[in-house]
Amino acid sequence: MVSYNWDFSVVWINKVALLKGLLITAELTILTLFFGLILGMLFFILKASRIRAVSSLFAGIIEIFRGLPLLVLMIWIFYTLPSMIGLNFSPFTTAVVALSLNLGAFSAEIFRSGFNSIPTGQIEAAKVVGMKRFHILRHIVFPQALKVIIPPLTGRFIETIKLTALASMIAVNELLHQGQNLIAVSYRPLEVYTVIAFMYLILIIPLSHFLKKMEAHHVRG
Amino acid sequence: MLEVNGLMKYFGEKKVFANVSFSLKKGEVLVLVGPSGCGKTTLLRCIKGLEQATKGSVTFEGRNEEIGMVFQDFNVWSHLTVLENLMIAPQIVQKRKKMEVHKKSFAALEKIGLLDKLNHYPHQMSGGQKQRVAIARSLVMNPKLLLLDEVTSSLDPELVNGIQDTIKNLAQDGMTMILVTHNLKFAREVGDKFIFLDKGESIEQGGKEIFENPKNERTKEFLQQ
Ligand SMILES: Nc1ncnc2c1ncn2[C@@H]1O[C@H](COP(=O)(O)OP(=O)(O)OP(=O)(O)O)[C@@H](O)[C@H]1O
Ligand SMILES: [Mg+2]
Repeated sequence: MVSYNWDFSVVWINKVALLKGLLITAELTILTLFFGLILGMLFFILKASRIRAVSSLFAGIIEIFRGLPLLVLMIWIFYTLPSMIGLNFSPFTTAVVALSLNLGAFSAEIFRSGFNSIPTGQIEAAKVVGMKRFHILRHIVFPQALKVIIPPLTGRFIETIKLTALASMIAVNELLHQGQNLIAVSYRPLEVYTVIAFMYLILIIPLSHFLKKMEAHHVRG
Repeated sequence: MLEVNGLMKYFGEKKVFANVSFSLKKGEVLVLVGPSGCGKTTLLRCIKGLEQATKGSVTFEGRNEEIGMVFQDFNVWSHLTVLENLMIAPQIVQKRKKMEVHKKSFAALEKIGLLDKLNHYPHQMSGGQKQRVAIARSLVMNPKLLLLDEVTSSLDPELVNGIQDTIKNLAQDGMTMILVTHNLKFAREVGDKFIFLDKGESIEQGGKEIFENPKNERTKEFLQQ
């Protein structure tokens, strides 16, 4: 067996750089969540449009962003958008845009399945007692849809955190990229990758347990 | 208080019923009788305005939400408890005070024997219990006209009498109702007017005399079953 001399001191010395990477990972996640869910709502509503052209257009858009590997989408935006329309996005913005489009497309489908899961009888019963559209949405449709939407959506949320690591490929200084920078100068890939793996887990595992708890609380009944 | 004139309903090419006319005064009970698939549910839905009639008119002296309706398959709201099912609409639609609605809901639940289930969710209850919740839910709205679609069809025999008594009491208290039932004995006991539907036509309509002396051959057959 090859004996390897583990030495984590380089990680400790550069802890600020790694923590900064973790912070940027968190920023990417939060911004993606924000814009991605807004996009998801928008995509969902527009795909449900009664205007045929609009609904097909957005059905297509959703399929494209669900079908494209996120890395390909990210690199494509990074390299082709500037030359095609002269827009110069920073790597960070590019990553947020690509991640949001991805999350938007996936969550649009989650919203759709949530809202479609409600039997029409539930809505008719509300019409019968004279509830107006807004009240039907707020008191009947929304709470019932939420129960179907929340579990897959929390799954997508955790997935988004993992996907932010792809931003390292376009040189966003998130956690993985900070680690790679550190490896380039320290030649300590084993230690650095090990610590980074732990840092992702420390971010994801408590969060996913917390979300599971919330979910159980909300989806019961 | 209700006037139905020449009502006709098609789903695309398919005729459900045609030429249905009747009027209903306050306190009267109309019973719709007919074989499965003859359009009873669709007729109730047209009266309530859930379905657009192809032709003809429905005139109700009052606002649409004063027509209560109990569905054949209940449609009790699945995310709300029994009590919440009863209390939500009076508060947000009729803007009634919570205390008053609460009192009225309790009274309604007591009447239908579900007071011990008030915090249960629909998935924790039997079909018959949900059916009774659906009835109570429409009653707390103080409807002027109540449409009941086969409200005893999915009940255990021992519960049927209870619901039928509830409906008879409502009738005695002067509630105007249109009800669909397959139970001819009950129909006869509670109804003032009757419409026999078959193959999309009103084959016979009138008062209790139909039961003694049906004019239509198919009504005769139907009554002999
Ligand atoms: N939304 C719809 N689209 C097309 N056809 C429909 C629709 N709703 C009902 N029908 C058809 O209309 C006919 C009458 O249905 P309806 O439910 O009114 O019958 P019903 O008398 O209430 O029957 P049952 O006693 O079984 O409840 C049936 O042939 C049914 O298939
Ligand atoms: Mg029916």
